Amino acid sequence: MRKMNFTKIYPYLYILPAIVFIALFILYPVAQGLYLSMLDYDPIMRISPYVGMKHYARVFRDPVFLTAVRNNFLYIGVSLITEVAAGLMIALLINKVKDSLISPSYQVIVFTPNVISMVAVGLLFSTIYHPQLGALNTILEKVGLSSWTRIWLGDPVLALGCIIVASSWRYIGFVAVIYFGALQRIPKELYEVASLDGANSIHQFLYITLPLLRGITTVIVGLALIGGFTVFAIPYVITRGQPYHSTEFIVTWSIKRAFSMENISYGTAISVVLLGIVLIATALYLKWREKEVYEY
Amino acid sequence: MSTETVKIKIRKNIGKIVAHLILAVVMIIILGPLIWMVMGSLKGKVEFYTNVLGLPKQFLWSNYVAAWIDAKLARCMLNSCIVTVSSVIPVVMLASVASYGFARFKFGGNKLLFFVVLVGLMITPQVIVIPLATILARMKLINTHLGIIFAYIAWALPFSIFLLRAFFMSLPQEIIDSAKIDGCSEFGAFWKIALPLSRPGLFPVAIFSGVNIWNDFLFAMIFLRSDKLKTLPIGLTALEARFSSSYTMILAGLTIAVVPIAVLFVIFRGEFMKGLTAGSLKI
Repeated sequence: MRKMNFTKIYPYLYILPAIVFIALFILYPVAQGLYLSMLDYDPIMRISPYVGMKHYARVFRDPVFLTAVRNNFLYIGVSLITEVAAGLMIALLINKVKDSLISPSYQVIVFTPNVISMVAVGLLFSTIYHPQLGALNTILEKVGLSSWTRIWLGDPVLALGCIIVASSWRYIGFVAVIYFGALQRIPKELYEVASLDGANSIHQFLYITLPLLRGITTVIVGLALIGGFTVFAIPYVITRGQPYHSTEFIVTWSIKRAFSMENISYGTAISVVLLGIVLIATALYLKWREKEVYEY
Repeated sequence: MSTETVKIKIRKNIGKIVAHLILAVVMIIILGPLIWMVMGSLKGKVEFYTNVLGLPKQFLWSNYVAAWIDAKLARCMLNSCIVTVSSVIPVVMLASVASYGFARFKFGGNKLLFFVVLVGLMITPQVIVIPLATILARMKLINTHLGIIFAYIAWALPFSIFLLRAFFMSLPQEIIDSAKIDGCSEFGAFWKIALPLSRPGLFPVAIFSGVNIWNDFLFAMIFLRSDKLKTLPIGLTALEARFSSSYTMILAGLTIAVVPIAVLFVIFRGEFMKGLTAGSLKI
């Protein structure tokens, strides 16, 4: 009798510790977050009256939140195009010279920014963008383009661009290495046969390489979507949302409201909305991509 | 070689030569900021103003000393080591055991509980950091290493389980069975046979979790308050606050923070690249 019961619960012993961690520190916070966001936590009076959807109504009318959402979308759009285009190009170039001795070094160098913390990247670039001491303006002056120098982080539009540049610098190598790996798995025979049939390299690229990279591009875009909505460290470190919240992002705003502005419930509401955005975006994206994978 | 042969050789390889040239430019763009960082970190304050782009005239190692001591980077680095190692080891242990359970046992709730793991995968840390802070506060784990380690373990588990389960599912049943016939217990089969075989999967999991935990900013900023416990990314922001206009010091501090992980990366570059892009190629 005892032995049979033990056999039944035995598998659960393997998975239980992990499940407990996940339930306690991931799932429970979600539930707690939903609950918190419907209260009006007042740290001074130490009361938390139930207010239902009050915070959510406010979120969607909050101009800073809407600016933040706009910034997230811009961030995703621009950095995605940059990273995919540049990453793919770099992967193709490395692939072209992959028999040379130096090509492994190319991969290592281009991937290096990806192992550095986002904070370090953000700090480094904020020093580069400094109006007098930074490398950017100095280089511009040296090559005679002093009319192009700006106070990069002081202008709302430029500051956003600066954040995107810093982020792309970090992720281009990541994309390039992934594409390079995917390129290796395309059978050489496909290209040989195409050559025999008279296809030149442009044809080969458009009709063999690109379609077969669709699968991996899906993964990259998916990661960029999720990462783009949840980006935090780089914008926070470079601009902290200045000037005047024009470079605020969803997560930076949520954290600011929750902790520095003592409005935990509102900040939590923003993060719940973020969860919704991420889930919906992922679901839509997967649905859209369902039909487009080529097998070979 | 005659000039004719050389000309033909060049024409044949023009594509590759152009590729190398473009890649060289790319490498300069990528390495540029890092080189600037190192060069600037060795300059004196005045020289940094006047000679922004050139090589430093003398190597001011005192910048490094100042950054190291004033910003307490030594302590931060130690904390990062403690927290990262204390998180990665449990992650690898718990994830391998759990993945094995999901992969090789049939039991009611297998699918459901794995779905729980997948749900955990979808919930990114930025979404739960605020409520998690209140939960940890209630458990008196705020501003402790233990608290943030728990958070990191929970964060790393879903992805690690996802990866390792695929690994364990690809093991042929015969290996396990023959081990059991030879007298191995169920757990022995896991410990002595399956686990060693899964080493190619354990490394990416360890690297992925380890590097991301080492570099994490969000949890560290919210869950750790006192100087004694701060990890490296927080130390960097403290550095910036402390030295705000002494860019040479900031760059020195940045270099200190960047060098260890960069060196590790160069040594273990294969594992790093595989680990950090893990899952992207498997999906």
